[in-house]
Parts: sequence; C-alpha cells; structure tokens
Amino acid sequence: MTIIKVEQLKKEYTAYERGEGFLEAVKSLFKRRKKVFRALKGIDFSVKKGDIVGFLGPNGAGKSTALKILSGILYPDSGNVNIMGFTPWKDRKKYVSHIGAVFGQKSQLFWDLPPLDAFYFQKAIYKINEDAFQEQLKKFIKMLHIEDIIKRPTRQLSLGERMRCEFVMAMLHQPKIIFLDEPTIGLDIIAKGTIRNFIREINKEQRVTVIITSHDLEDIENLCNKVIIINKGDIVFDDKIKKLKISRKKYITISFYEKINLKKLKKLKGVRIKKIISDYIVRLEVNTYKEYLDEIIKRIRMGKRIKDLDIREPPIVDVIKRIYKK
Amino acid sequence: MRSFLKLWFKSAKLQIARRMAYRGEYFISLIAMFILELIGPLLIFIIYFNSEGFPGWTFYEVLLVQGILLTVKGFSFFSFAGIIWNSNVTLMRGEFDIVLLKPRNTLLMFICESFDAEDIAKFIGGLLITTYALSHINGITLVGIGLMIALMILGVGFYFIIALLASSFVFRFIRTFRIYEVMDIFELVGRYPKSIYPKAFGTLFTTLIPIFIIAVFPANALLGRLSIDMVFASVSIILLIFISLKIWFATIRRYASAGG
Ligand SMILES: Nc1ncnc2c1ncn2[C@@H]1O[C@H](COP(=O)(O)OP(=O)(O)O)[C@@H](O)[C@H]1O
Ligand SMILES: [Mg+2]
Repeated sequence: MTIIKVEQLKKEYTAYERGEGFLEAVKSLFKRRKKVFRALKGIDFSVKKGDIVGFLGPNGAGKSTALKILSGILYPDSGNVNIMGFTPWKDRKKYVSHIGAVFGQKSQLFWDLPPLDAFYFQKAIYKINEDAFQEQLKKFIKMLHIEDIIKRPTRQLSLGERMRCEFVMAMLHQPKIIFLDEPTIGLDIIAKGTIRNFIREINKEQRVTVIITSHDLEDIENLCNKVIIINKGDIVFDDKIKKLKISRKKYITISFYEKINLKKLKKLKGVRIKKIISDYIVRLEVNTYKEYLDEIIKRIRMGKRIKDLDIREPPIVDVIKRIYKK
Repeated sequence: MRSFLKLWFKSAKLQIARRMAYRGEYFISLIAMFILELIGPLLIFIIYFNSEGFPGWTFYEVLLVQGILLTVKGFSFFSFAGIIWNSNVTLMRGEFDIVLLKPRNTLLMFICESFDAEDIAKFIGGLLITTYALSHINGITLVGIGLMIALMILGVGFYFIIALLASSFVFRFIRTFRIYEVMDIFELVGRYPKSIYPKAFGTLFTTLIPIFIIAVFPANALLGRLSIDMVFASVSIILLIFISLKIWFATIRRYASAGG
C-alpha cells in the first residue's frame, strides 16, 4: 500500500544578502541582491507502508529540503505530495499529528530540564491519553535503556543519550511515519547500534514507515530496504537496496608472507588494483561474473602462501560515486 | 482555547521549574528585576514633588497609573512578549521548524514555548503597587473597577500588537534588534497623562498608537473620568490586533517558503 506519493516536487531557495544591524536592514528594504538556488528540480517517488527508505546523497543534494517538505514545515514551489491523504504543507496542523521527526541538529528537548519533563510536555501538546502515554514510555525506556537518563537535566547528557531521548519525543504519540534527518550524526558505534536497533524494532512491531537521511552508508545498508539517491536536486537512483550492491563485484584485501609481484598482478584479467597498502598487502576489486571466487584467488595467489584474506561487498560509497559520474 | 491554556500553564510550570534549578539565582534576579522596575515610578515622584505636579492628579492617582502600567506590562512580558526574544533565538538555531512540527496553532505554540519566568516579578510588583494605590483612593465603584480591568486587558492587547510586530520584524529582516529599548520608550510615554502632551501627540497616542490604554485610560476609568478617547483607543487596539495577527502569520508563511 502506497503511503507517500511525490510528484514533480520543486523547490528553489532565494537567498537575499541579509544585513546585520539596523541601517543595513533598512537599506535592504529597498535594494537587495538576490541569489536563486534550485534545491529540488522536480523529483518523483513513492513509499510503501512499512518501508524503511534511505535518502542518500552528498552535502547540499537536497535531502533535508525534501524531508522538510514531507514533514509539512516547508512550502515547495510546485508539485504534489500525498501522504495518507494529506498535503503536508496545506493540512499541516492535522497532518503533523500523524508523523514524528528527529532532526539530527535540532532538539525537541529542553536544555535545562530532564527529558522526562519534555515527554510530559509532548503528551500535553499531542493530547496523548495517560494510559497510552505510560505504556509507550515504559516500552521505550526498556528498549533504549534510558531509565536513569530521563531524570537528569538534558544539558548533562551525552549526545548518544540525548539522541535516544529525541527518539522517544518523536514516537510518544505513535506516529505512522517518522522522518529522520541525520539521526546518527556524531554518534559512536555503540550508540549508532542502539538507534538502529530501535528503528528496526519500531518498524517491525508498530509498522512505522521510516524515511531516513544519512551520510553514514552503514545506516542505510543496515536498515533500509529501499534507497533513493539524490544528487544536485535530482533523483539518480530509486530502487531496492539489493540492486545497489553490485553483487558480482568483490573487494579483496590480501596479505602475503612474501613481496608481491605487482607487474604480474596488474596483468591478471578481471582483477583491478584498488590500493597498494604495502609491499605485502593489496586491495583488489575482482569480477566474479565469469569465474568462481576460489579460482580468482588461486590466480592472484600465484602459488604463494596467504597470510590474511578479507573479502567483502564493495562499499556503497563507491557504487554511488559511479552513479554520480553517469 | 481551553487546551491552549492547559498547555500554557504546563509550559509556565516547566519554565519556573527550570529556573528553580538555580533557586538562589532565580530569586536574586526576581528581586533585581523588581527594583529595576521601581526606577520608573520613582522618577515620576521626583517630577511630581519637584514641580507643579500633574495638573488635576493626586499623588495616589499618579501611583495608580504606575501600578497599572507595571501590571499590564508585567503580565504581557511573562505571558507572551517572550516571543520577541524567542524569535531571535529560534531563528539563530533554526529551531522554528520544531514549532511547525507540532499539531497546534503556530502562534499559540510559539507563545507557550516563550514563557518568561523572570518577568513574573514585574506583574506581582505591579499588582502590589496598584492595590496599595487603590487603598488610598476614595469613592471607588464596582463599575469603575470593571472598566479599569477591561481597559487593562486592552492594554495587554497593546503589548500583544507590539510583540507580534516585533517578532515579525525579527523574522523578516534581522536577527538581533534591540526591540526592548523601543518598548521602553512606549512605557515612558505611557506613564504620563494626556494633558502633558502637545495636542497632536495626544491624538496620535489615542488613535494610531493608542499608548494611553496601557495605564492612563484604565486609571481614568477607575476615577470616573470617562472620555470618548477611550472608545477610539479601544477600537484602534482591536483593529491593530487583527492587522498584526495577519502580518505575523504572513511572515511565518513566508518563513516556511523561504526555509528560514
Ligand atoms: N534556507 C535556505 N536558503 C537558501 N539556500 C538553502 C536553504 N536551505 C538549503 N539551501 C541550499 O539548498 C541546497 C540543498 O540543501 P539541503 O536540502 O539542506 O541539502 P542536504 O540536506 O542534502 O545536505 C544546498 O545547496 C543549500 O545550500
Ligand atoms: Mg541535510
């Protein structure tokens, strides 16, 4: 079932040079220099209920812009968006009660107060009834291990602890969709893991549809069943994540006891040197399209003993680079 | 509306709790704020006793004007005028998006989040001065009290207009603007009765910028000195509220199109 449908969505930013100080401001009333920037050039996509969709793209691609429009806080210039029957920016007040959001850099918590106070404020804003609120809260406390955290002033919390509480803020009113803009930015591996597990769980248990933007390819790889890649305001890829992994290609890091004969290695068919790490270690990209992996390794090894071997899928970043070049 | 008031009280409670985390500092700043607010009335007394005084006004009547002004201003400042300051802050941090994310009227939501725990001192101080002045004035009628309160509410409306326009201005043009100093000027003007101003200013301050409604008119109403000016000022306030609401929402609409 389609839950989000986006057609020909366009957004231009007009930036005026904004003066500092009163005189400058008065001056700018009459004469202002104008700069137009096309952030979204007419994008189309749709999302099914229960999907976890990743928005991927370099800095300035338009990911946050798209997310802001979808969450009803930014007006587009043209195009249609239909989310559960709402047009986000037109039906904002009604619409936003069905969605939740975590914007990496913008906090919904109160700096000087414990998160628990903010949760209760959220309860009042969304008119959540007491029983539902307590039930949700208990569940999230357990899932995110925040029992001790939520009673300490927010300013005393680490970024990871705060982020977990931001997710509670976004989920208390049981939204059907959540929008996450760089939710793992700046977090360590363990904190990222907790957040990812949480996202996976709410997606599975409550069938929450998740739209997430991230720089972190691992986030996308680990969580999403669908990826949309944006570059310079256009969608350059929109499909299942599996399609993005070029499964016929492998990255092999191989380490020998003896010096590597690079001349010979370069001549091998279906093998490309990605990086010479030392005289003994190289990273290679191999093509398993026509040949079994063990046979390729046999050719690479050239009778020498292998000290260590690491075989993995090419990282998405390389795949994306290729897409951008097109 | 009821649910808005509930939310507003909740926010007020939270903000006070926030300040109570540093209790000592909070009480000191409350007291400091109160003493600072006494400078205005004190100046008036110096003028009152060192010159002819205010023609036709007794000492306690002048005190009443000061008390009403502080009450009206104090109430406005702690309950909603925080949006001016908050416009600066949220714009700087780009956090207005969070306000738009809530399933509530944007303005009411913004007001709730802008409660100012410190300015309660002004309000309480104002109430004390007003009560003290009233206790020394004879011949007070219930009708007089009723009219005074009604005009004081419109006086709060005056500050509401200023807050909306100032907030719009901050959103539209600049991020740091010393709007509070402009408010101090209004306050200074509002301390004196109409009779001390040249005629043109007197008219201006009853119609286009109905400043007299924040103190002088409520006091006059209590004292039974009714005039048609009060009607002009009241009508003007209501019209201006309507206009400034339009401007504020248009500004926010524009903000949401420009992406901050
Ligand atoms: N409020 C704004 N005014 C002007 N330009 C903006 C504004 N917000 C974003 N942009 C520009 O639009 C482009 C897309 O921004 P954004 O959607 O934030 O990208 P991303 O989230 O993919 O990094 C960027 O080049 C950015 O500089
Ligand atoms: Mg972004």
